[in-house]
Amino acid sequence: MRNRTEFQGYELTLHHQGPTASRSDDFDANWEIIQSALKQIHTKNASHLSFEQLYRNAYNIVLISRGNDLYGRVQQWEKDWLDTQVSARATAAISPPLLLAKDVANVQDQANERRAAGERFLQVIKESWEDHQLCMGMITDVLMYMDRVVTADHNKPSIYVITMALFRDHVLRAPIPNHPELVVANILESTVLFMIHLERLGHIIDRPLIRHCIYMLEGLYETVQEEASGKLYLTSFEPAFLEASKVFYKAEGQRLVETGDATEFCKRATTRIAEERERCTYTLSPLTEPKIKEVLDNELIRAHISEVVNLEGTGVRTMIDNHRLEALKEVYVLSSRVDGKKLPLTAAVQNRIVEMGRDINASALVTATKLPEKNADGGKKAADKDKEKPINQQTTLAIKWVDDILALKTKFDSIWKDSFESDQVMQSAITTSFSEFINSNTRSSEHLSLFFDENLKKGIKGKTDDEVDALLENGITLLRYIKDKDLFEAYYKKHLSRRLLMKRSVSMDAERQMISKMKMEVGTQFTSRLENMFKDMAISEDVTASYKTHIKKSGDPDQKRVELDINVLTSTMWPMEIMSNSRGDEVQLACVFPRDIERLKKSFEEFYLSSHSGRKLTWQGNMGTADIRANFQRPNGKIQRHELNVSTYAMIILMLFNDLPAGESLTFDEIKAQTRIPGHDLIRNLQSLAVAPKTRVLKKEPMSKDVKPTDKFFFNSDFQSPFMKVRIGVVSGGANKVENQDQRKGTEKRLNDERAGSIEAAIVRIMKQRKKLVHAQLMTEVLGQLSSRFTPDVNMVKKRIESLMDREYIERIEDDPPTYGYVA
Amino acid sequence: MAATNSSQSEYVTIVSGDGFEFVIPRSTACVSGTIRRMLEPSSKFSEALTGRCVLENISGVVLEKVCEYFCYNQRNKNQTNVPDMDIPPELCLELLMAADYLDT
Amino acid sequence: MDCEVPLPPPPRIRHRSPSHRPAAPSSLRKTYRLSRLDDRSSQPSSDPALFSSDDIPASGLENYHAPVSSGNRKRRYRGTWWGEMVKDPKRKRADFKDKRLVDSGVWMGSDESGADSVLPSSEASNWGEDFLVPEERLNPLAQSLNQSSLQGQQRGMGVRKVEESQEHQFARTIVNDCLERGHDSVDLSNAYLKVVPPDLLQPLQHLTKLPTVREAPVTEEVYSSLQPFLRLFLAGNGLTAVSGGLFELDALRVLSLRNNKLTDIPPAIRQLTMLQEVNLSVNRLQRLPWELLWLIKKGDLKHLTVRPNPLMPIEDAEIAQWHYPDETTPESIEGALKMSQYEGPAPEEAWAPIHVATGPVRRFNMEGFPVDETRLSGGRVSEPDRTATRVPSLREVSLLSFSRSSFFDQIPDSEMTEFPALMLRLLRYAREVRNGGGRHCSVCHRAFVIARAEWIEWWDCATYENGLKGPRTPGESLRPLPFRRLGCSWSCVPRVEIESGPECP
Repeated sequence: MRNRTEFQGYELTLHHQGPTASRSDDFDANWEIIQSALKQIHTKNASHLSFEQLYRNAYNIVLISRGNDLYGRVQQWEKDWLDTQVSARATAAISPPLLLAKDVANVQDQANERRAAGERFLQVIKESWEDHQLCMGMITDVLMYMDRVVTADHNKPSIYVITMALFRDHVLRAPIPNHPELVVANILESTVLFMIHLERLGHIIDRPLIRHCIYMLEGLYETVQEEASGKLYLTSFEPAFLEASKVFYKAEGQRLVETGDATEFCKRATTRIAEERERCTYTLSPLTEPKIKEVLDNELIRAHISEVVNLEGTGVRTMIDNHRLEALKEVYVLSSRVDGKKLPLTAAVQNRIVEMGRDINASALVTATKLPEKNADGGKKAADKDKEKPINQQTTLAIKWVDDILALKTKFDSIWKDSFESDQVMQSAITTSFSEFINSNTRSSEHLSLFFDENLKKGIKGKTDDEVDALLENGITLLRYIKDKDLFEAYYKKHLSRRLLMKRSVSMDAERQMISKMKMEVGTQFTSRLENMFKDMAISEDVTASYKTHIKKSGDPDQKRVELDINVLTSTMWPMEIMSNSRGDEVQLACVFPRDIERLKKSFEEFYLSSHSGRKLTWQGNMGTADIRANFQRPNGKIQRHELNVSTYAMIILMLFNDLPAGESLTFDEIKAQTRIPGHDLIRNLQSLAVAPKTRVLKKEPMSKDVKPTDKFFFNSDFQSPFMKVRIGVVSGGANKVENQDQRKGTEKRLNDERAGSIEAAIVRIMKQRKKLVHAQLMTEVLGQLSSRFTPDVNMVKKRIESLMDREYIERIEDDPPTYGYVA
Repeated sequence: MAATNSSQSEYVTIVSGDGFEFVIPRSTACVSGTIRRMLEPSSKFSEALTGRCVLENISGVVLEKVCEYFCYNQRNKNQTNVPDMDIPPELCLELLMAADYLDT
Repeated sequence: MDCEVPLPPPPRIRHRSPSHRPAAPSSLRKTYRLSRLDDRSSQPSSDPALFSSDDIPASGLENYHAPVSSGNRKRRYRGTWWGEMVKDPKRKRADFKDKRLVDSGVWMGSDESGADSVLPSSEASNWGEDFLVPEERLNPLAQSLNQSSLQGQQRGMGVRKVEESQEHQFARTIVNDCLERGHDSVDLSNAYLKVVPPDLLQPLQHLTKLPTVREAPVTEEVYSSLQPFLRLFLAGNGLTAVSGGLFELDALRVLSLRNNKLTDIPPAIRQLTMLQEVNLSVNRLQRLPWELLWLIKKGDLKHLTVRPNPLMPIEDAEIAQWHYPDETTPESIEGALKMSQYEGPAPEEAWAPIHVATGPVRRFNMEGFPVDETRLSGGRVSEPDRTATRVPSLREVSLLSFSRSSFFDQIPDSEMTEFPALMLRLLRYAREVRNGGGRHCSVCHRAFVIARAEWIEWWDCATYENGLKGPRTPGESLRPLPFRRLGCSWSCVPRVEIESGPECP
């Protein structure tokens, strides 16, 4: 019985193995056994070795406190083994081609030769390493007891760790005979890099072999502490690899850009990225992936992306024009790797949008600019047949403008969605550009409003609700881009009022839908006036109805009734300035109505004011229409009856002829004096009554397009029309069209007045709240408050501030910095 | 693990210095770090090939207790409430020594 | 309770020390530091019973380096203030020497030891020298090895009873006196005990109170419980370790170990389930045993005085998980501390200790060596015990069994060295643990020798440091204390660890 502790009663004795005297003999004997075992293990001849015996030998050595010596002996033995056996084998495997200059540029020449030699060499390294690893694993197992003691007591690294370090120093860092400046690791490195270079050129290489060599480098450390950062792979191979890659991709990037094909460049770059990722997974180490990605991003993308994006004929511009979503996507993906803002790409896209937008603007203006010239000098001319056409054409152009923009928008939406991965940055860039070119067209608000007008009048006929909705939604999208929303409001109001008063709207539902959409988009403040217009219309219907019943009750039945349909409009809500008679400083007296009508007017006023005291009714003759029954005395005695639908003014004019004996005439001036119809309205009405070919109820002398003050007008009893009911429109009166230059000026002026008011209101509001404010701050607050409606002109704001100071709403209380105070 | 050959039987034999043999499941024997290394198939030591481990240092009495511990360890491996194992006081010093040797 | 008699206000201790330099008010950490020292720690850490208006000069937390020059100091009265208030006012506490002469019944023979009476003071002057090196995270074994030799000497001394040191003899007389007179307040403060002899305190287990005899009229208030309200004062003794014997006094209600040189409180303190008040201030504790927290939560402990001590500040500690105010991990420590203000009210939180954070778990292998967690995954260090099983190792099983057996004390040190070094280490470790009163796993309660897991939990116990005088007030900043927890297996770790870990059914 050996090494048995016996207990006899309570007395304890320990019998230790062997006599203590011969401890050093023990050591030598045990070491002999272990030493021979080491050799057996390294020569793969362990099957007859007993693990237990070896372990026990090592254990015994430790028990006699010679563990540390054993450790040293093993270390020395391994060092010798590596030097004499392994290292020799490794250096022997290095054949001349591997020693060639590390320059990989001209690989083609001895590629095959070098490659074969390289594979042989790597194979040897791989085998040596794997053998060493396996054997040291076994040896460490056998010496585990020693390891435990030595690592605990002497704070030394495990024998495994120390022998791995030996492999590093005595194999990998063994100098190569005849090349004292080189060590095995250098050759290993250059060989692996050479292989990778081959693979990049499209050759197939032995990936697993390289992977195994990389495993080795990953398993070896610079120090015995084995810090993760000290892996040989990271300290030596990886930097070399990254450097080589840098060189390679720098050249490749240059070459690709020189071929001048952006699509090709992006394709190659994308493939390269995928290749390198794969290389990190299968050939090298995943640790390298982020670093090689950085190299690719820098050398291939960051260095060239701007150039690629702007390549003539193949760059982003061409891709957009040809709607090449795939290519754009590649550009986008590459760009977003290197730059969150993707500057070159956004710039290119923005430029293209603005360019295309400018084209659209230009095409809408081509005729528009021609026309005003005509209008400018033709405005005073007599009505002319062609005139209707270009104006309509212009309206069509306006609508086309909107349609074009919508088409462009759709295009870029699809690019954004499919190619730019719905990227937020791209979206805002696109939006900015759209906004930019849309607002660069000064007429955009008008065009857009016309677009709505057109669609609400005709466009939506026969369309389903969904289609209508989509259509309106498109328009709203454009509205979003428009900065001067107040200008749009002005136009919309004007157009809406015409639609309402002339009952041109196809569907009131659509109108309301439109209002609610605008409300969502721009806000309640914006739509409240529009809504009030609808309200007025509704109330007016009631008023008309109740007036009718009122007449029925009180009226004299024998009187020849004139039916009255009336719309009472709140003057502040409706675009009165558009409809009002006043033109410039000309004081316009109310026009003279025929007696019957005058009576009717009085009666209604009486009725209306009885229920709404304190209000003032102003009659807008230019906005109304009248149905009159006209008898035409034919020369053959027959009387031809027609029902004429004319404007209120035309009705007044025609009524004059009732009192006139047949054949008599009235001059323009006479008519004007008798009716007090504003000159330009009169001209237009006379034109439509006497010039328009199909509706010549009056004759004119001399017959010409223009109306001159001296022209005479006769009742045309020969009036012929195939229809019973004849509608006589007012020349360029009723329809909503593009404004001419004069109208525009007017609109702008009104707009500016209105803006001035808004600005003053905002200033006073702010100052009232703040009491005291620095100029710059006041400016920003004002701009902020108003930005939802329009972008105020800074000069205008300054003027308003001055004006308010003059009027002593505010005062300047300091000069540096300029500060204002609120005057209560 | 290269070798999953025939020698990788499910049971192994543990032999004490005084000749007592204990046949226990391989996984159970591997509770001991030393035995686990001894049986490591990739290293192909004779024990790994034969499945027979002779532990010269350890007497049958102690080895029996050691094997009992192996089983106790295996049985309660995933238990939350591990029962105590009974150790005769006169054996515990030797068991400690064996545990030290067998790394368990 | 006799503590209710009015007391002269306890002396305010001012810690004037170089380390307490005027702090730059800027950083958060600084202000925190300050708050750690001020506030409630303005409550005296001293035992209320101490007479000394002049506290031991070296008592300050920062003053460890200064040697205690107690050699020529005037002998002070020791004892409790209520020692003065006993029914029989004639009995003044006797001076050390007198007392020994009068009351030395057992030790009469050792007269010549009087010559040694100079000894305590001269020895005492050396107290400050064996000063603790701020013990970094030493592995517990290394620590225990340092101390084991010392223990061995003590053991030797213990055997030679005849030559027991004067201080020990004196301590015995006090103990005996208490036993005799049924005094349940045992004051061994400033008795120059550098160790507590193993058998010194045992008799106190059987202490019974004597009924007070009073003259009529006998009212109900006169009756006092005969159940001893055992109080033990070991303050100011230069103790470096607490022996297991102390923890066998399961009736102990009040324990003061103030002003010693303790670096660690053994987990066995948990056995003192009756404990109501503990004073551990002015020691060298960097952390507290988790079992103290257990006594607060499950036991009767109401007043815990631990400051000042070089307790590990949470700002410097590695934190694995924050628990308060929520489970989110703050970006920085500053952030965390800013967050750890008591946000109130949650009634039970206003009083109960709050778990603020948990430190990382350190694992140890079967031999008690720390395991490098980072190495666990790779390399060749194939640990058979990597899987988190709760089964104790054979080493552990044998060691535990051995440390419980009576053989344990019978192996002389000389024979122990015959064992393999690794085994010897374990045996010494086991002896250390045994001397400390044994250990139980803080997770599964199994008794064990070799800790396999260790971690720090940070708990704010302000209300208990306060003596439960009031609940927390909202906005109060938390001052977490480090409690060390030990686990007996790799499965006995904080719950989160288990969840993310590989097993546990």
